[in-house]
Amino acid sequence: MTGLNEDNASVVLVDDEEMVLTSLSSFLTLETTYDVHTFTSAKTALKFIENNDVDIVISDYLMPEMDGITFLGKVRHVKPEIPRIILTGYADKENAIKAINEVGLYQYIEKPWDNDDLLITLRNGLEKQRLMKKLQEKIEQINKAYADLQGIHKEIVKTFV
Amino acid sequence: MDTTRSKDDQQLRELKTQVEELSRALQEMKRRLMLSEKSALLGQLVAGIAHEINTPLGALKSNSDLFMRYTFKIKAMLLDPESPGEVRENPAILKLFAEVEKLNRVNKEASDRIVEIVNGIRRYARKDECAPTQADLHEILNSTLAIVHHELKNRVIVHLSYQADPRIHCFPGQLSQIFVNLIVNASHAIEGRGEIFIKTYNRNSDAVVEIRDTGKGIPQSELARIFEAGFTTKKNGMGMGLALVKQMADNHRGQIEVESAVGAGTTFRIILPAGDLQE
Repeated sequence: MTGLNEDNASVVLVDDEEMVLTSLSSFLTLETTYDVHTFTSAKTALKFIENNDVDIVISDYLMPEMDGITFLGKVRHVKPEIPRIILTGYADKENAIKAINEVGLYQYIEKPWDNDDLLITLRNGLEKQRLMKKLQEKIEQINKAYADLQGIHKEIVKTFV
Repeated sequence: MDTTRSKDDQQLRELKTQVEELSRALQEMKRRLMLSEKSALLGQLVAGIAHEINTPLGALKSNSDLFMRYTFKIKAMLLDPESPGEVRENPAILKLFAEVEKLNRVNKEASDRIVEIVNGIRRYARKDECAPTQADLHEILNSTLAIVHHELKNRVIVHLSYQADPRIHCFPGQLSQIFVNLIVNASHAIEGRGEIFIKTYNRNSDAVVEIRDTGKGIPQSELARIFEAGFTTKKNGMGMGLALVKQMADNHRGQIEVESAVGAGTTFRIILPAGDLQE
């Protein structure tokens, strides 16, 4: 994410069906100021994610060259901090739920989706990522402060002994 | 000697009759098996189609929602106090917006109805479900009505009265099939125009689904046999519908009550006990 600002979050959408991508990106363009990137190929999307800052990924489940779960598993491998959402038809629902645990998905969205629900899921995912980032920063601050303290402690001991 | 032979002949004839009867029964079983295989195959096919429809339907549903949102934005821009009066007060523009908004509403209704039908089909076609799940009784009834709509429309008026607590632990596909069978039967019992009353309510902790029709009714002499497999009064019936209903109600530890009066109509009540079902 561009800093901690959710407004211009970078969103990656992957579906082999152009019509789904057109509809989703039109909706996000209308209702948000997100930077939306659409891909009909999971492989191309993966390359983009490797080389760019991406805040959240939504992928279809059934795709010809690589299924959505394999793709999101690879996304986790290269950038584990990005929340991953799978878009799924009813028949794959059970597999999708299994995958939530297996490849650590943030959420699944059922087709045909509701635009408002989709936006809420997306916002919550981005919020989660923002909080995780903040938490990571705080942990680093604490670690640094602790290291400094250790240093001071050594200095004190040295002075007195 | 003669008596022995005629005794043998008699036995032979009896055996022959038995073999013939068995072979007839076998033929009938074969016919039923073929029909059930055919319907299982059809079920799979329909479930597959319902699944395939979801992607284009998803795009249509989303787009019909988007057209409403875009129209709202464009209208707000054109009718803004800042925009010139000839635009803001132009009756032709306002009329165009009224038309577009009307079409958008129809599109939304149409896509919502397709979603409901597809939901009903995939729920109904899911015969293989092995684990019971938490579901909404009224949602199951509504999606069932969406798939039997063609059977009823313009002929039978359906009255709904939902009063039960809708939360239910069940096999949703089986409940849907129970309701499809009972509603289609009710519709078949109605010659010409008539009415079906669907009511849900709680009796103690049980959920009751009542389906009453104004059809021709079931004669007292037949009432005791309606749940028997193979019993039918329909021309092309197999006599399996209510037998399956009974089986599926048993799977829910449920009871069925029937009341009928010839010429007045029939009432079926499915009584579903509260609590979780075993897997």
